[in-house]
Amino acid sequence: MTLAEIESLLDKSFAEARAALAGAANPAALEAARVQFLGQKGFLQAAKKSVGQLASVDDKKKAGKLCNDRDRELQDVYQANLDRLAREARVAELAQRQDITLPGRRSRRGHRHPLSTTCDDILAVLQGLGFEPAEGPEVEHDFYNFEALNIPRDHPARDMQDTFYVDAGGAEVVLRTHTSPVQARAMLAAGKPPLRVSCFGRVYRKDDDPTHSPMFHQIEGLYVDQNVTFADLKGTLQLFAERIFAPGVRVRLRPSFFPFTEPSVEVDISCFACGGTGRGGNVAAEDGRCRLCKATGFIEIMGAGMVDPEVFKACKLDPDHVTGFAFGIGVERVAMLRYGISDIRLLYENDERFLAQFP
Amino acid sequence: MHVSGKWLAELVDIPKDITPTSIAEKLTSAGLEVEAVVDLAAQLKGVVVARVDSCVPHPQADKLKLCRVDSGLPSGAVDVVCGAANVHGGALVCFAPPGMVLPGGKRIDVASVRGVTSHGMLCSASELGLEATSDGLLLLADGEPGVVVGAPVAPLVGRDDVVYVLGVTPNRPDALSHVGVARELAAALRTRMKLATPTCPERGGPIDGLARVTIEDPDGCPRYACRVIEDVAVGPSPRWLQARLAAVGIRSINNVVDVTNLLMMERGIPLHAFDYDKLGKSGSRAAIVVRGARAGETLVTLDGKERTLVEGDVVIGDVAGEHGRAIALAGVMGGRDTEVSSSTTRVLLEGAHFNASRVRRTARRLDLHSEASHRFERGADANGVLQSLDRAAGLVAELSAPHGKENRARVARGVVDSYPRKVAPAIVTLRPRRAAALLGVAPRVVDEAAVSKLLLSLGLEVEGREAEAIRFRVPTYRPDLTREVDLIEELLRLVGMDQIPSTLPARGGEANAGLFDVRRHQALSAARRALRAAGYDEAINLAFASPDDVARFPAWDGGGEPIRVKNPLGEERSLMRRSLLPGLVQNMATNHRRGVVEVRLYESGTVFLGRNGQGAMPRTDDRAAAAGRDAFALERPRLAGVASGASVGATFDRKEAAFDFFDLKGHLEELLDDVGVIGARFIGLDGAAVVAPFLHPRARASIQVEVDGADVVLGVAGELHPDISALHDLRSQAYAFDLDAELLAVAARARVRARPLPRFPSVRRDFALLVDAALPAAALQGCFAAAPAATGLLEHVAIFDVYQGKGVPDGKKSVAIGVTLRAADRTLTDAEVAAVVDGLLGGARALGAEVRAG
Ligand SMILES: [Zn+2]
Repeated sequence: MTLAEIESLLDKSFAEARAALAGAANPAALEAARVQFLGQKGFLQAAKKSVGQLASVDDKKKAGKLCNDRDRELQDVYQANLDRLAREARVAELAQRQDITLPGRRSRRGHRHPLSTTCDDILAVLQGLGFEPAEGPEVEHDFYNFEALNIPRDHPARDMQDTFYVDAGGAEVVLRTHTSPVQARAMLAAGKPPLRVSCFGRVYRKDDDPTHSPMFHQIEGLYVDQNVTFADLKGTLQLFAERIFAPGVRVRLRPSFFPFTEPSVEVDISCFACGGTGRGGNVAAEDGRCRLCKATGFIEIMGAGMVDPEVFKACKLDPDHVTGFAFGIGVERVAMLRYGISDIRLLYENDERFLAQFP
Repeated sequence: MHVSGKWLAELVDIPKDITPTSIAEKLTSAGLEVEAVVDLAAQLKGVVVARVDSCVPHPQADKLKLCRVDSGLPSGAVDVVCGAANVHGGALVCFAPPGMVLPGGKRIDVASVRGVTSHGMLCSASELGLEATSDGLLLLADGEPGVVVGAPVAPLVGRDDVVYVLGVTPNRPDALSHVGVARELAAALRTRMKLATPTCPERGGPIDGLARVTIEDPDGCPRYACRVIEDVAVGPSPRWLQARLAAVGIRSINNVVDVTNLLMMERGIPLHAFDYDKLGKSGSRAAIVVRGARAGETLVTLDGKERTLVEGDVVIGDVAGEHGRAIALAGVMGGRDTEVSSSTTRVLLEGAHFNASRVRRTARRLDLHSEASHRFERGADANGVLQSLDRAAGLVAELSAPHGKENRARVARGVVDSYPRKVAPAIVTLRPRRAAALLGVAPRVVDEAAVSKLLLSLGLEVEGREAEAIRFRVPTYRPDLTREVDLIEELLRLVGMDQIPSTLPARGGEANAGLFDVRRHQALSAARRALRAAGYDEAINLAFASPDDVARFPAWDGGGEPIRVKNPLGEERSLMRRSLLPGLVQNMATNHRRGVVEVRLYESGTVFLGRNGQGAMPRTDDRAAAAGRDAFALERPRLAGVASGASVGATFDRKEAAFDFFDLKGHLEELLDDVGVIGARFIGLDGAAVVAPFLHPRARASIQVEVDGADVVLGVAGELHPDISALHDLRSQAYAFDLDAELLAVAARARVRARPLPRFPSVRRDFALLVDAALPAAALQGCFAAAPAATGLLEHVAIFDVYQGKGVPDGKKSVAIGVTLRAADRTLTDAEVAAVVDGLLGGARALGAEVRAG
């Protein structure tokens, strides 16, 4: 080819190439145009090959420059369209919308039992007050469950706790009726004061109705030292109640009887449904009386007292030199109050639909 | 204990402005918890006095009458149909108008009775809740105070009363009587008791000629006294007495028995009345012998049941027959043969004191709990016997008025009183400073003067004084006050809880009782977190089991005879569980039955494997034993779970995948990782010592790990046996695991040591190996891990496909394995990688593997 032929080839195909590259409406068409005009078999390559065959150096220079100019120009056109198509594609992508209201894909999560949450919370509060956890056997010797706690055989106090007895040959063995035997064991094991423990776990009584389960959970606090006073008990109960229930909850003590404490008290807290007024609140009956506290304004929640000297003697501590207090709370009762559970049996059915309501 | 407000008001000065609610509060804050306050008058609200103006036979019914009744309403008299025989014109009756509800729950409506409209009802005593049964209407006497047409009936029949329902704690026998409650109320209100010493007019002959008492068992019966009343007429009690007993929940029987019950409720001392003429005599005298029962001796008690007695029971006997017979079970119940009946004319009244423990033992053995045994068990007042007896005898005589005849009843002169074991008042020394120290109050709150004043209000007396101490004489009706601390409790009650400051004790220096295994607690916490993350809900089951449960779910680590409850709530709860799984499988079945198949549950709890060899007796002399080693049972902390349903639930764009063994295994591997157990293996149970018959033979394993050079079985896991699934009607394939939490803690060894990140690249090579179908995957993994050529370079082995079927010969399977190789100090060369791969494949070939690709 001559210079003129090369120039003619470039002129003839340039406009076509430019139009194709600029006008391609999608990436595939653009790529096809690129291959057609700018690829190895395109007119530019053909022209470039012919340049080397020109005889004149001048012609070579001239034709070479022309090829390169056209090439650059078409490359720019190509790039511009490529960019434009990319931009348009992004705009189109950004215009898309997913149905974000479809449900999320969740992995299955387990739930804690409300009793174990409540139990852990109470233990954490007690730990904060310095009470270290303590555990003991559930199948328990009569001695630890009763005798050491000043509940002798043939004493009416035994009627306060309907007991399951264990077939033990000659030995006297029961299913523990409270966690107090752990207190006795803790005192015997520690050997000397001060001692501050929280005894917790399953306990058993021969009861089965909508408000009683034959197995339930208790937590007891025990503090033994020189010069522990009833005023200390009162202060501790107030703080304990505030941390378990709510700041500002009022605590009322009433004289009562437990064989292992003297003096003994029942501990009531002001009703959190009606604010202690006995009326209104979220569980009020039609006549306005609060159902949670039966309109009394108070809820019975705990038993407590100063450790009875007989208990110290049985646990090899000298009641002339040590005093102490103990208090006990039913975990079921707290959980039922806290979560508004009315039937205790729900707690032991383990229906997935019940358990899944708790965190 | 039901306490009548009217009765209380007769015993103690109650200021007029005090309401029943505030009396209840006073009693409750004194420690006598009032569980309910019942307004008896409210139950009869609306029932009024009415006059029957006229009374004619019902036109349609022979036995009915049509009455015109004037109840004082401005609208005038109304028609009432009545069936009672004793209704007559001019009668004054109790009229219940339409709209009211009677105490028994019956609602009065305007009703048509055989064609005649009846506007209300004329009531009998039983319909008003005053008597158990009645014969005809309750007629009111004209001219009696308050009997005015239109006036409320409640006060006329003794129902203008308020009943306090007390929950009396077992230490307070004194509060099982109105006098005792009145005493507390007087102390709380700072007012006085109004209790007169009873007197008994004795118009009969000397009692010595009528009765004698011998106490052969003074331990069982420290005191026995009696009086005799002659020419008694037994009959219904007057209305006031019936009303009084009804108010406190006691059924009226007859005037004699009612008097004994009245006294029991008034003074807390149970009395018993015998028909004197039915007692065995010695000469002319009734001979009472209080003695220990003979083994096998029988007695028919008042409730008509024959009781067989044992040694240790205390009986009241007489001298009838060759050896005498038992006529009453001391302190528990009288005998039928000597019961007071309508034909009784002479009564022997017993007032006695019995040994609390022995009464309790007898009552418990016979499951015979009476008002009397309830009081004697808790401790009645031995020294109040005579006063009760005097008042009772006087009342029996006074109320013995045969209808229309002269009252001839006479109380014999004197009382037989045998009192071999005198109950003396306790002398208790109180140090006011000690009281202040224990209560945490300022010394002046309970100084000597305050203490004396307070305790005197409860009937205590100052017996003497010592340096900084006062000796008090405690009345015998308060057997609970025997120690200084008991008096301090009384002071607290009287001072009031509000007067005690609130303080917080000092902290620090506490001894560690060692009754808490921190390591186990941490391991369990980690395990429970892992299970929750894997979707398991926490379950809590009762710890009982049935014999079937125990047979079907043996403990995988053995165990002895199950722990048996002697008095279970049914056979299905007669044993202590040896595994958590029966409960969990039951929970799963309940969920399935209710349509919930997606179930993952775990439980952390105690199982009871059998008896503990060191636990025959409590060992308080050994501190370590007292910390728990002397437990009667072998109690193990276990962690078990069950799962059924989907592994991954379906979503709007993905299909559900069923839960299978490898989901369970993965969950447990995660759990073991989180707890810090490293190198645990799942080992098939064929031929193993570990037994788990409740798991499906095709997929069950023990989980083992090496601890201190020995293999420890942590538990078992697998698919639930199809027989168990079928038995519980499970709706989906189920999986289960059971781990020992203590062993988990022992095996938890992991200490996290941070490693630097790798500095050189890894190389991954994948192979497909054709092996015998029975060759466990673990064998291939194991041979790779052990290959010498790969030592230090094999970072990871992953089995990513297992295939049997088309293209794979029968009896073979194709296993795709990927290995990741890396050197810590250099980039591996192709030649090095090739050498390692050669070594790995050589090992695989030694297991019979054929390399298909790689
Ligand atoms: Zn309330």
